[in-house]
Amino acid sequence: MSNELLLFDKVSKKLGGKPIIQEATLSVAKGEVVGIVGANGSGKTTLLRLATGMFYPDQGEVRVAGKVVRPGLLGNLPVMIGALIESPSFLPYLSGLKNLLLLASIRNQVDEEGVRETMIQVGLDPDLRRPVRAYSLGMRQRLGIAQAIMEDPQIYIFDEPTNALDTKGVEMFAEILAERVQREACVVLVSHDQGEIDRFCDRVYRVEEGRLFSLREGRVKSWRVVMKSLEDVEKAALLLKNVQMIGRQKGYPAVICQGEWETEAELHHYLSQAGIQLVEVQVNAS
Amino acid sequence: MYGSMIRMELVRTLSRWQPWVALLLWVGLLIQGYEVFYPEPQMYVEPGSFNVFVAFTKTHGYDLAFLTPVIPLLAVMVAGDSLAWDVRTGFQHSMLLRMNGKEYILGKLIAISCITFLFVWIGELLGFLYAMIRYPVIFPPYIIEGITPDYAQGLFMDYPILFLLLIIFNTAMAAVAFALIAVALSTKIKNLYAILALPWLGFTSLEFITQILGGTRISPLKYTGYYFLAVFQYKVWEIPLFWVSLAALAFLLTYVLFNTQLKRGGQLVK
Repeated sequence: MSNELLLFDKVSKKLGGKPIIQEATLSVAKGEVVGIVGANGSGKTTLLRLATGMFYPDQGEVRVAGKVVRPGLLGNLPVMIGALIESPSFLPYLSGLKNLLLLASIRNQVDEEGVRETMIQVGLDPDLRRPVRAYSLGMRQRLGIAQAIMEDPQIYIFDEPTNALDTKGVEMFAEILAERVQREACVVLVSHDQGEIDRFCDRVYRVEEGRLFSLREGRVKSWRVVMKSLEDVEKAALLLKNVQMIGRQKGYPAVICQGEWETEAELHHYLSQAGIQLVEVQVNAS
Repeated sequence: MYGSMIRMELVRTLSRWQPWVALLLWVGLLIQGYEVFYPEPQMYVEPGSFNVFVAFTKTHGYDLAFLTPVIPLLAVMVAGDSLAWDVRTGFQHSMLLRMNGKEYILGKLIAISCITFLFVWIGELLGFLYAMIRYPVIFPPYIIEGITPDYAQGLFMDYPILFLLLIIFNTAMAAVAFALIAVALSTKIKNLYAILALPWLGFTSLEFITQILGGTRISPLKYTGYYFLAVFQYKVWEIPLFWVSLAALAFLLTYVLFNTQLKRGGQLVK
C-alpha cells in the first residue's frame, strides 16, 4: 500500500520467555483509524509498545513510513509518532505546561504558543501552576492527549485514551481524532469500550493469545430503511444483521440496520439486488 | 540537541527541592569546616598562618570538617537521580519518542555532568565568600609545617588562587564521578532511595575496608579531600586524573549498559 504509514510484518514478541505477540500482520494507511480489542493480558499494549519502539520484535519488522524501527533509533524515523500508552507519564514536580515545554524543546516543532493552544484544546489551563502530582486522573489524561498531539504527528497510538474522561472530554477527543484523520494522520486505538470502537474505527482487530484476527474491515454505520411491505422486511431480516423494526412511516414499515456500506446508493443497490422493494434509505438514522 | 538536553536538565534541577537542599548543605558544611578550624582567641597562632587559603584547605581536608564524607550523597541529590526519575515516571518514553536512544543517554550524561560540575563551583565559591569575610585575606607568607598543605605546595605558595581553583576542580570532578555512578546504577535499579544511597554506601564501605587494611595510599576519603595533609605525598596530577578517569569510566559504562538494554527490547520502562 503506497499510503501506508504503519506496518507490522509478521511480528512476534516474547516477554519473559512467553510468546505475547505471534506473527502479527497489520497495516495502517493515511487517514485510517484501526481499533484493537482483546481481553486483559492478550497483548494489546505490547503491540502498541512495538509500534512506538519501546519494545522491538523478536521476529518480523515494524515499519514506520517505510522505515524499519530499529533499537534505540525511534527518533530517527521519517515521521513522528504521538502516543498515549497506559497511564500518562510526566514529571510530577513540574506543572503541565512545563512538562510539555520540556518535551517540545527536544524537536522544536512546536513553540510555547502552540503548546498553550494544545492545552486549551484539550480543556486544560496552561497557566495553572499546580504540579502534575496534584492533577486529577482526568486532567492527567487530557495532558497525556496534549502530549501526544502537540507536535501534529502523522501516527497516533492511543491506549484507552478516554479513561477517566467525562462526557465533554470524550467529545473533545472525538473532535481531535476527526480533525487529525482529516489531515491524513493514521490512528491505532485500543479500547475496552465497544461503543468507542464502533464510533471511531474504520477497521477492528481482536488480539487473542497473541494473534491478530480481523473483526471488521469497514466502518459500521447505522441505516434507516423504509420498505414497501412487511414481506420486504422479512427478506431484509434474513439478509441483514441486527435488523430492528421501528414502526411505520407514511404507512410503510421502517427498520434500522447496521452495516459497512459507504453510501446510501450502495445499500439501495444491495437490497434491490435481493428483490427488496424500498421507499427510502437514510444513513445514521437514530 | 545536547544544548536542549542541558537546558531541560537545568529546568528540572531548579524545579526540585533536592538540589536546593544539597546546595544549602554543601555551603553549610563548608561553613562548619571554616568555623571548626577557626582558632580560639586565647590560642597562639603563628603570624601569617591564619589566612583564608589555609582555611579553605582545612575545610576540605580537616578531620572535623564534615563536607568530604558526604560529597557522594550531595552530588547525587543534585541531578544524579535524573535517569531514575525518567524511568520511574515513564517520562523517558515520551522523550524517546522524540529522540533516539543514543542522543538521549549521551545528552543526559553530558547534562548531568555539566550541572553537577556547575553546582559544586557555585557551592564552593559561596563558601569561599563566607571565608573571605571571616578570615584575613592574605597570601600565605611562608611554609608552616603541619599547616601548609603538602599537596601542590608550590602552587599554594606561589599562586594560591590557582591552587584554590585546582581544589574546586578536584572536588567538582569527584562529585561528577559520583553522580555518573548513580546514573549507571539507574540502568539496573529502579528504587530512587537506593540510587541516592548506594554511591555513598560504596564510598563509606571502601573507606572502611582501607582503614582495616591499615590506611592504604588509595582511599576514597583521601582522594576526595584528605589529600592535603596526608603522609603519602600525592602528586598534583594524581587526584584530578583519578576523578576524571572514574567519571569517564562511569560515563562509558552507563552508555554501554543503556544501549545494551535498549537493544534487548527497551525494557527501561517501569
